[in-house]
Amino acid sequence: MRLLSSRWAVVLFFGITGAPIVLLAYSSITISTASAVTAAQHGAADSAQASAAFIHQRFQDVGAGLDAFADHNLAPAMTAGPAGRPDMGSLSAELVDLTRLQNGVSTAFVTDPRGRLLTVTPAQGDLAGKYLTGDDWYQGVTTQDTPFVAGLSATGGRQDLNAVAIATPIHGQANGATVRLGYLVGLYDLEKIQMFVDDFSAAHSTNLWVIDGAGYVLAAPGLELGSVTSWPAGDQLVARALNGHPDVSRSMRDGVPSLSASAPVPGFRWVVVADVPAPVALQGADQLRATVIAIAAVLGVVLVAGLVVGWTLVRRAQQAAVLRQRMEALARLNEAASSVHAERGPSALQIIAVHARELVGADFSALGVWDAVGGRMAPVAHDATTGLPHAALDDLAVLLVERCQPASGAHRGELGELGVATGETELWEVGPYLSVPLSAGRRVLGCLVVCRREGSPRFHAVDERQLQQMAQHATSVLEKSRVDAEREAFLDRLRETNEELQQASRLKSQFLARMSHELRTPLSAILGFSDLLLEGASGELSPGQREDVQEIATAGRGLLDVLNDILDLSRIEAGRMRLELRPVRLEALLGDVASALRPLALSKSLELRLAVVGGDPPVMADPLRIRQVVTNLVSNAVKFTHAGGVIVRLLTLSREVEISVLDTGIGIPQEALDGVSDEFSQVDGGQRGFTGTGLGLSIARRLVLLHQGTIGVESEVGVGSRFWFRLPVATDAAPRQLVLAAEEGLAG
Amino acid sequence: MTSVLLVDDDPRMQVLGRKVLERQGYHVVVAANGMEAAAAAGHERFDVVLMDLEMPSVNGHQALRLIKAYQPSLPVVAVTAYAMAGDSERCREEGFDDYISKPYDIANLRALVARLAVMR
Repeated sequence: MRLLSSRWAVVLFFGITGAPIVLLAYSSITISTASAVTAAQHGAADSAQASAAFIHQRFQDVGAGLDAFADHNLAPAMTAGPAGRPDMGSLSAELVDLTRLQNGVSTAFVTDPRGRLLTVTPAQGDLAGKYLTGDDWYQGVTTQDTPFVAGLSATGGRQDLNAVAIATPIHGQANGATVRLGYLVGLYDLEKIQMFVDDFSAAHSTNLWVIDGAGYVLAAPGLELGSVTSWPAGDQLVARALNGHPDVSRSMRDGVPSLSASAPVPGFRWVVVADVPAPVALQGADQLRATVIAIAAVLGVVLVAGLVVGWTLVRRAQQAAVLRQRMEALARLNEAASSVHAERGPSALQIIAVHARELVGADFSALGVWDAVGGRMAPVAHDATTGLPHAALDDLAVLLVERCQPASGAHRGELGELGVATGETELWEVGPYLSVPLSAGRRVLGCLVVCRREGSPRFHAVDERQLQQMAQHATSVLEKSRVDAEREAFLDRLRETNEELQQASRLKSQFLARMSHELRTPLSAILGFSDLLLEGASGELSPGQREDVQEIATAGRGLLDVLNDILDLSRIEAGRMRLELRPVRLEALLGDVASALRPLALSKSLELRLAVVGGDPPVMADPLRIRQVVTNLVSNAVKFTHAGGVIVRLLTLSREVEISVLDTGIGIPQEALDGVSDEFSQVDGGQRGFTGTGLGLSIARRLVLLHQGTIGVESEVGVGSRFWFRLPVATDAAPRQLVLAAEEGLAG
Repeated sequence: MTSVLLVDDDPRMQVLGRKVLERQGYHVVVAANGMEAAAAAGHERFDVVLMDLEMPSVNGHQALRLIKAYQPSLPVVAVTAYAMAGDSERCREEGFDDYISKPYDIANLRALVARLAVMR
């Protein structure tokens, strides 16, 4: 799921779930308010009408009471007096009873049929005998002959606005006919109305107003008797009721919004107004609203919480999906990398082409390598999805790497007019492509191009990154190939050089062998014939001849020694000397050498002696070579000593054995000592008249060094010389072969 | 009488060898190369063959094989100026009964021939 679409999903979810809640809450509040208002208005109207009816009924009841009282109680008294005249005493007594019995009537009076006041209770003396014909009640009662409830205003003066006059005729019998004996008038206290209003308000939370046709308030909540209050003029509510039409309306009463209803009191120009204060009326609605808002709020919170949780889950799922994709991509890359690294060269590049194509979901991939000689990008590997004709793919790869090779960095695009025929008429055309360079530093080694069929989705930045990683693999493969090639070339050169060196060495060896052979053959003749002459094969020689032939033989042997030395030295130089190292005790070896050379010493009348000092520990040595060294040193000593002797001394030191050859010979000058053992150095041989020993000493020095030993010389001219060398004492008894080189075979 | 076949292409060595051995009382037949040596060995009975190695046409190695093919018990000694280390061993491995390097000490040569002739 993409991020954008999930955002829209959230908006949609909010719309679908949130809007109904808001709508529901709003409509519940509106409807409940409206219904509360309606209910309140109905209540107010009911209150007004009921109150009006009640007031009316009350007056009717009082009227009926008075009527009955008049006919039954007062009528007799009206004629009980002398000459059928009213008995004033009885009347007064009856009236007192009336005011006591009839609730709400505190004042009552009786008039004669002409309206003259007969008696009043409580007594009001100044009124007696007064005609009250101008009063409303008199007008009313005389015309209708039934109890009449008079209005108030007509009684004159607002000060009287505390009672309602209810008049009824007093009927009596005279001469068999009903006649009017007079009129009974009861003043019904408005206080009773006020009390009703107060009680009603307390009981029903509804305020009642009783208003007369002139606009005076007769009763009102908390109204004090005697006070004069006017209803606002022009109030349609009251005006319509006065015309007989009950009405409802909204109004402000004492600063409190109220719902009001009016009802006319039947028979009067009175109006009852019932007020329900809005806060009271809407109390239920308010509670409902609070509840609805609370529920809506809870729903909203739940919704938001649900959304947050849902969003989080969606995000987590998205992240997990992205992570999984990356892991998969990584796994594919790793797989690609490992299979690439398992291969080298062309096969690795082919694997890269396959993986690159699969990795980005392309139809075709081509890997080009820059051909510096040809000056163009040449494909070395390509891979295609199934359905592409194999025959045309090589050409497609060529065209693709040439057309899409990146100038610098990766680039994506669309390509047209490049395709391969997949059938008789059908053409597979390249559409979107993605190309990344294979670069090492600033050098562009090649490029990796993938493409899809025309009309397929384009490549994205993600594909580019993945392809670049494959390109890096390809680059490292190419680099490795290059390094491998360079190494191979270097190794080839090395092999050639080695071959040449071996060839040269072989030639040198052959030359040495040949030289040796060629020198030995004439030497064979020289020495052989010399010996034959000395043997007397051609007759006895004269002493002079014998001496001369002896010189020839000696010189020939000397030449043979030189030849052998040269061969030894060249073998050492060429590293072809093989030492057969094993623990050797030197005393016997030195004794052998001394024995071999003793005849030579004796021929010069020299003593040759062996001295052993401090035991004979074994040393690691090749006995043949040590014998050669000692022989050389001793024969030299004998050569250069003319009187005295030569001592071969074996001296055991702490970890070494020192072999010294001491002579009483001519000695070596100090300035020549350093060069004594240098190759081919020869100390003034001509002066001494001896053949050189340079090669022998050189060989001796080198052989000792090969044994990890040391060699040296001390000498004093005219006194003698000491040549010595030291070999390490053997630490283990195991023989070993120090192979310095293989021996050369026989030539020819 | 002990008979020695001396094979060498060098006339000086032929003369030297003949003189050294005849002075010792041996009968010496000289062959100048391997082919002559093989032919001589086919004609005549010898006690010892002294064989030079490097010779024209048939060399000492080839002559050794020719002779040993018919007379395996006839001692053949390599007498050669190849005197590098290991040459002696190689010659013995090849089938030569003994080896003596040139230049040889004439006393040593005589002693060697005497020893081989006695063994035969």
